[in-house]
Amino acid sequence: MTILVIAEHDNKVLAPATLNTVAAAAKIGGDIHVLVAGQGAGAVAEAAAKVAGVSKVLLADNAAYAHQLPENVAPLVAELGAGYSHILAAATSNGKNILPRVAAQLDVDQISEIVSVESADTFKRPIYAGNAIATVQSTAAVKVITVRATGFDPVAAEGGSAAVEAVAAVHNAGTSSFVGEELAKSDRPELTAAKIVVSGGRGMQNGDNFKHLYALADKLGAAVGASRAAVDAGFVPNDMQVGQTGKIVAPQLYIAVGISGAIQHLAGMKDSKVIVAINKDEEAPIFQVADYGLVADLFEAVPELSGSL
Amino acid sequence: MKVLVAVKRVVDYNVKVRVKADNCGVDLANVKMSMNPFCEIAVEEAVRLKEKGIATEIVVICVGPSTAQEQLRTALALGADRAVLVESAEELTSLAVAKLLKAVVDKEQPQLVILGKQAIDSDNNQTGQMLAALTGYGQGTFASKVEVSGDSVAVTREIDGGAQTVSLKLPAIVTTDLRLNEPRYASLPNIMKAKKKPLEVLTPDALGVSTASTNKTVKVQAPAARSAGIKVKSVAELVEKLKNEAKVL
Amino acid sequence: MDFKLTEEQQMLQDTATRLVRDAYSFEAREQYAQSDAGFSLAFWQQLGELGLTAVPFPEALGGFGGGGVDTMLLMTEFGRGLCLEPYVESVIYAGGLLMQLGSPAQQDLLQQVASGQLLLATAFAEPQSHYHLNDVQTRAEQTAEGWTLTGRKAVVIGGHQAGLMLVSARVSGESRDEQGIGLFLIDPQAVGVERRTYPTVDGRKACDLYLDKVRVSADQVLGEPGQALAALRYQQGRAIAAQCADALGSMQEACRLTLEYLKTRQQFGVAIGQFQVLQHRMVDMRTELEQATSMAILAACCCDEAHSLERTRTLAAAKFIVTRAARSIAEQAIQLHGGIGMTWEYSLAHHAKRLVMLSHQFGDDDYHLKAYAALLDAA
Repeated sequence: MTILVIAEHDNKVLAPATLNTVAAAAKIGGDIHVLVAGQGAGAVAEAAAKVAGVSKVLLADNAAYAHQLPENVAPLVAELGAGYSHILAAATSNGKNILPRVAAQLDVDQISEIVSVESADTFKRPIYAGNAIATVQSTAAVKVITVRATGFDPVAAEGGSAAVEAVAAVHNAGTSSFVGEELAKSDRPELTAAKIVVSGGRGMQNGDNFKHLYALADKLGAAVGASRAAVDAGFVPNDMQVGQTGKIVAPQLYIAVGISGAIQHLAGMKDSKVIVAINKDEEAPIFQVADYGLVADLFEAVPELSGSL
Repeated sequence: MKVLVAVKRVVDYNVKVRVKADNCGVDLANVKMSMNPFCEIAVEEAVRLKEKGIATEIVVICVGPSTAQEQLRTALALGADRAVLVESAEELTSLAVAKLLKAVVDKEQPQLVILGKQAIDSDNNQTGQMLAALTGYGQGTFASKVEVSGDSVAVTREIDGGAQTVSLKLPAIVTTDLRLNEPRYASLPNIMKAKKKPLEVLTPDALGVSTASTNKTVKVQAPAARSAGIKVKSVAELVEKLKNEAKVL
Repeated sequence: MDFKLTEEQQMLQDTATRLVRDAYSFEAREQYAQSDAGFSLAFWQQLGELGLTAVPFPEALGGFGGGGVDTMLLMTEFGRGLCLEPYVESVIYAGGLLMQLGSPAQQDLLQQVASGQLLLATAFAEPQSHYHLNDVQTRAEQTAEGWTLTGRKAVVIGGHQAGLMLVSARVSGESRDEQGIGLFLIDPQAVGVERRTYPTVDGRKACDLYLDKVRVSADQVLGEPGQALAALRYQQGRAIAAQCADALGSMQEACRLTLEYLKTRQQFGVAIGQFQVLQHRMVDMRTELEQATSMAILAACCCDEAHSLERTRTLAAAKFIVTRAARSIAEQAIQLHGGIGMTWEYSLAHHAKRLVMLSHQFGDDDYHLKAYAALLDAA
């Protein structure tokens, strides 16, 4: 078995998600080749060659691949990948964009966003927004898979010494062109869409003290929320309220600071993947739902937390 | 120009699904079914293109059971002109759906096909891209803005960490993201009009498409329950746990 | 029996469900309730734009010829969202009276009612009338050019916002006489009309109406002067059916909130829903809800039939059962929640208040049980 992993990169740097994808490939077992398709992406290929467990790097360097346009990259992957047992890509916006196109060209079903490898042909993936986990088995000659990075520990970025092989094939469909790109604004993400949410409660004591949470949130790329108590006390506007009567959030990480954990607040965040509670009252009900509880003075703990990130 | 919109019948997004005791799937008995929210956005975008005078006809298509006529009627009530149901009682994979859509695209020859980026049941995020591969059209996935001008369409896409704009030659495939638009409500006059709009029913056999699959769902389980939390002693320990145990940092 | 909705009804319900869900968050409702109007004018306008205020009117009058079931679908969603708009009063009750009794010129107004542009209010109750539509002391005196109205009307829901009001007044006879009751369409801005507005227990707004020699012209009289009681009772029957659906939505939500709470709230280390005595109470609530559902459907199915003793009796029965269920569910839901059930910042308390309010509008359970019993003898 030989597995082809599609590198995630911006022509300059190999994105960390690739390391998680290689980890998934290693779980499947077999030789791991990495395809770097891009323009002027030699440095990326060199970085990929150093990744632990990678035995060969294919570098397709052409203007047609500069912006990862799927119309051009997918035929390349389909052509190269036809001889492999598996084709893996990270479930990033690029991976999700390109890989189904590859699968259709190879006439196989794709398995999206796997979170675990059960065997070389069987994988687990969340469905219904994570409310169920499906185990899916593939009989395809080439198994086309996207990998959810959080499901796999990344392999080491160093330690490998694979050969880099240039690929001459150029696919330029001519049906699409890159116009422009806009990097995300530095504004904090929207509360319900954020991957991380930092929320403050009555324990914040006043609105000014929320600056500690904003500082932490900016370190984490997080949104800032509040409990009803904090909103009612006038610390922050009510569009920040998280709870049964406010916004319902389910981020990857929810950090509740100075929030006692009234049931109405819990209803708004209990589906978060990981809940952290920081409160000086160790009897606070929030600790009953928190994965990680820290009994501490928030005015010491929060700045320390910001400082250590 | 003609716009084709593909929609899917899924469990209503307000329903909290439960996994069946025998782990063969989720319990959908007596559960409210609706149009996939991303597909509603796709319909809305097509209707807006028609209101701007860009689209001349909107054909809405669904691959699903006969009850999916409900969702097609809803699309008609939202402003689509006619509907096609490719009736299939069994649950099909994205590739099979894409092949069926391709057959309809061949028949209808639309300039633009708009789909939701993913269905909220299977969460696959595949069909649009696969249809693009099968038709050889350009694809603008996860669209937050769609602008048609002449024989091309500029699609602004939501990508990790920002937005990207690509220009696609028509005909093209677009898949919608949440921020593309806010779908309207079906008004009563339009609900009444929808009754009179044509709805054609086809079968995969009639389209000459094989829906065989290389994927098999072995079992479906509930996600692991929240394990009892722990108390950490310091900020340093908290950061260490979040990084190495929870892996959310 | 086939209870399956038609495709159109399904879509109508979907539209109503989504509209209410989007527009009527708990905070939004609080804001609407505290506004001058006491409800959302924007939401009302949206109902008009989407054709929802036109549902029960015939197509010739700018409506969609919908029946009791169509109205029921809407009202259930309004009840679930605790909507504050006077749909029952303006569209069903007053609109129904205009349909039934109005002259062609008066029926022209229905276009505006159906589009939501004109709000109507119903002023039929009086401080002493205690649910009896025939207990009317407000007097209408005939004059050379029409009538003058003098008297007092109580609890006119939405009256402060109404463009026109339907007022019952006695043209002849004594209080509680069945004959001699007239219906008048008055402009609240007219000389001699005073409105005193106050909030009702369920967060809506109503007014008391003080009429002092209010002059109305002959073309503001609805139907035959003095013969309005039968139409009033008939249309109140339609309003009762709609109100039963309103209560149904509210009861469904109260049951849902309570069940959710029982599964979430921990005590003695377990979710309190583990305790059998609470399970029994929850089952009792659901049993009441099921009975109320059946009666609300029955009411919806018969409310547009021609007048008959059977229809009157069925509607009295429905109102009785739904009222009993509403009060029982409101009380049990609060009991099962404990303190939080009384908190104004939690929607359950507002459902409870709404259900209690509905239990008293258009007659309480005692009133309708008596009415039902009286009709048993008649049948």
